[in-house]
Amino acid sequence: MTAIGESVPRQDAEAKLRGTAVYGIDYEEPHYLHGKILRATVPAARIVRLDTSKAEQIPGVLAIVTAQDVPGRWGFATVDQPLLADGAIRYEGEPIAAVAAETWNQARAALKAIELGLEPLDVVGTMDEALAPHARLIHPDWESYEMRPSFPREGNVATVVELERGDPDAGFAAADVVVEGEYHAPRHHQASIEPRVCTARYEDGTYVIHTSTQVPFGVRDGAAGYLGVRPSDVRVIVPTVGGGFGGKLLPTLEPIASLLARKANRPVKLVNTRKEEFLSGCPRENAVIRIRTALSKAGEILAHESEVLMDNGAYGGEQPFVAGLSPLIVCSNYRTDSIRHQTKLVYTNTPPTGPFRGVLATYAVFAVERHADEIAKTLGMDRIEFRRQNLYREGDKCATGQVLEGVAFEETLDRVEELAPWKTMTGSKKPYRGVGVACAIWNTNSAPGGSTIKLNEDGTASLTTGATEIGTGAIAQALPQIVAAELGVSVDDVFVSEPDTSVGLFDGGAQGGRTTYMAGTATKKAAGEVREQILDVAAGLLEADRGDLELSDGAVLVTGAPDRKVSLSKVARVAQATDGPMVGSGSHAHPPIEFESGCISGSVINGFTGATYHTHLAEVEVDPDTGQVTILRYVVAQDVGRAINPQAIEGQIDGGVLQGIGYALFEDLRLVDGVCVDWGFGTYRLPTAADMPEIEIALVEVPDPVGAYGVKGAAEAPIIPVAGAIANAVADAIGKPVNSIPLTPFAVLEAIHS
Amino acid sequence: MIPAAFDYELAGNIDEAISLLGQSGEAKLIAGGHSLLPLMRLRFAQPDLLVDIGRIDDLSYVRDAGDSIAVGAMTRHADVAADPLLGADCGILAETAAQIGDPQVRHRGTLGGSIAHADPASDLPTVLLALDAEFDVRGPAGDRTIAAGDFFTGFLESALEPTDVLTEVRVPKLDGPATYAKYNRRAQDWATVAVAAVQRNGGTALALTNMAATPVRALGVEQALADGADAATAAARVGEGTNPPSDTNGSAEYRAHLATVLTRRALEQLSA
Repeated sequence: MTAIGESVPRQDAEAKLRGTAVYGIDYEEPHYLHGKILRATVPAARIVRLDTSKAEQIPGVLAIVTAQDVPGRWGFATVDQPLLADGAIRYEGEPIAAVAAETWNQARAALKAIELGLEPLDVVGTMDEALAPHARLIHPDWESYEMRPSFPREGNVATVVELERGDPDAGFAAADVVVEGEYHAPRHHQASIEPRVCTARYEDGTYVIHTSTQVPFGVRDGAAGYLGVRPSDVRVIVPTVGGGFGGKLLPTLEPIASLLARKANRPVKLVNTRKEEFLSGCPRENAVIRIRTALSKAGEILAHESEVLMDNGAYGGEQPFVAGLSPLIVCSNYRTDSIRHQTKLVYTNTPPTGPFRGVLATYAVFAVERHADEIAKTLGMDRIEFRRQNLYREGDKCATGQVLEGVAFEETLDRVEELAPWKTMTGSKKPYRGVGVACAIWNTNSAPGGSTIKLNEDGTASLTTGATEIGTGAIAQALPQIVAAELGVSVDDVFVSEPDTSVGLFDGGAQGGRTTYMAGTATKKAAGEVREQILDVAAGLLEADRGDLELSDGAVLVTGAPDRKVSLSKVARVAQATDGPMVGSGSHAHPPIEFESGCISGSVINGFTGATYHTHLAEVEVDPDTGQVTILRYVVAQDVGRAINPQAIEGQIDGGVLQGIGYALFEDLRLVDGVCVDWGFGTYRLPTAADMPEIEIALVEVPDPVGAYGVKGAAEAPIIPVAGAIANAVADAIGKPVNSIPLTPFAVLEAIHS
Repeated sequence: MIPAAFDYELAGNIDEAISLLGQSGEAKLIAGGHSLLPLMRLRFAQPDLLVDIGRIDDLSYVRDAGDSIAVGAMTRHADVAADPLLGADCGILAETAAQIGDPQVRHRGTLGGSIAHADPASDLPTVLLALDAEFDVRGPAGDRTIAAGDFFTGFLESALEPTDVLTEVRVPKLDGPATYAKYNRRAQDWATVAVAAVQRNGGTALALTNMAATPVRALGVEQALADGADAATAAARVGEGTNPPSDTNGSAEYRAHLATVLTRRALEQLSA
């Protein structure tokens, strides 16, 4: 069994480097039409007139669709979102109509010819405005919307998550010290290089959609929901994806392209402009987090109380589900049995927010870890000592009462200590230099998945799965490595087909670090089935006992008798002639987790699956005259369960940390009265490679009981602790708290002089 | 965004370029394209004709011209940065060119293009202003020389006529220290604010990037230094005559503050 734990190169590396990979944006069908979307230019209005008759007269225009073509609403949780605005505009950028024409210019001209009459409405641009007494309801008919499952909600509050366990009031009453903090985090745009793009055609009663997505089955279901057809009447195929980071989880362009394609009876390609990406790109929500902690003088946590406001934007998407994760992270890291928590998801007249790598944990951990430093400071304790004393240990309960197993906080702290000894780092403090740590526990998404493997007649293996490669290497290297290890073939002899919902088994999508964890485990099961069949056939051919056989180098060998062997090619041919083609399939779902039911409401996420543990350390220098923060050192210790491909994981850590640096220091998708100020990279500033410090990485391997080989999610999490580690380092450097990100030079300068 | 439609002509030499420029009132010269094309993409510039001088090789050179160094207008930033003569006798120009954008930009963008574009956020015009550089210009009526101090007339506006071609830049050989203190929030970005400081002819000349509609001399600071003020006291006068913009990278107040900080640091570096 080789290949597991080896840094083999990814299968898609050469095509991506040479520019020959066919991305969604490169994909074209014969005689396709150019689609374009008319989007709202104001955040709130009543549509009093929508006349497409002049636009229909433009030469080359073959289809125009409006809400009349697609009545009804859809949503993962709350069924609140029309595909095209129906009577009301609730955010700037909301699609109102779409056209398909022979040329891009004709499509553009048609958009301009659509006559739109609007009556402006008061803009409910912020959470404060939305929660104010007598605020205008963004969805006046909210009570009539179906919600699956039904969570508490009220008016502009899209969902409420509550958790209470133990006796927090008694904890606060007994406290020697109470530490309080309020933390603010901005909107954060995914900024994938390839925008959202799809090409749809309608063929023999089926919508065939080639789209750049992370979750083909989610797009299938969403498109079918809007189109009013069965999921199987929609077929989603995924070309190479040019980045997603959560921004390509939800169906957006696909149902619109499908409608246009059916109406025009031609394939239709829709591509977002960069501005459309910024306007309608479901960024990470801006949020406010408030935490109160009751402590004894000795640093024991007696009770924990917290409150989170998440900006939902105008429609729900899957945010009500994401909100359910909030108590697990905001009330986490530190042992306590008395907890009270509330998260409110708030509708505003702003673009719908949505999933982004490390959903909500980026700001939750920023808040939790800033708070931990403030606690240590208040108690006069060393920051690492406070953490070592209170971080979850084996057998501790998380917020929902789930008993945690395989807790690896200690190991990550130890590995960071080896690379950057705390006493040395903090011993001789230089002016305006600071060190910060942040710890995080994170979940591996455990949506189910499945794989099918066939052994080809030449002894190679083909893997078919609905799982999707979005750049992490999970499909381009980890799954082939698993097949190679189980079947004793070279990684180069494992071929993976592109995701196609009509062919591959269901998969929960490239999200939440789940692909290797779930699809990988299913793939190991599928390979195991094939392996059993190979052994059956080879045992007969070699006249040997099954137990004496091993698979290696594309052949089956008798252990200890190197000249008694048969090639997999021969095994496959014999099997095909006698029993038919050789195939195995594997399906995997995570077993249910145990928690204290009744302590949480409004959530479907009641505990951790494949929990991973993280410690990041940052050393920074602050320029006291300009407020500029320079990162001098950055250290990551990450528990990955088992590293299938260490190099791939290190690449994900590099990328995640850089994205986290952007979140901590640079990025803020600003809105003024619901209007997006930053709709290009000219003002929305991403860090570049030249802003990147060297990242020192230690991989920790504490195996998961469920994942194949002990694997856990690895790619998502490295973004999560970054803002906390950097903010703690900056606070240490300037001797003042910094509780809002991004830490722009202006904000840091203000904090210095506060 | 996509630029508006335009015609394109490739000029074989400078005179041909001048004559082509005269064919249309809305013609623009293009060399490296790294200033003009972004403006065209945003449709801030909508020329109907682009005259390409990118293939005129004889405008790319660095030559010893006695007390000064002559640099051809088509010399790329990367070549300015790597030139040994400039490195030895006018290091500030080479060092500043090395700080522009990223390697791709430095291998396409030209010295003359940066000057003619007259962007107050650009680095090279500020340095040339502090150096009292001279610009040779050829137009339909022949050659003339414009001093850097007379060249930058407004935001993206210069003393160039529509039919002029900038051909050569001359900078003095320096015998004292000079430095360009540039601040940007993110690597490879335009300067939020920058300060060029040059010690020459017994005095100190300073110019500022992104503190007004044009690159500007910090005359108040120069005067204070001439009167014997120390670095911090002199730097406090840097705001005189400026009108800094406000944007994502900093408010006008923040820029004014930065200019003071950078000026003090530049002056301290000169005397170090």
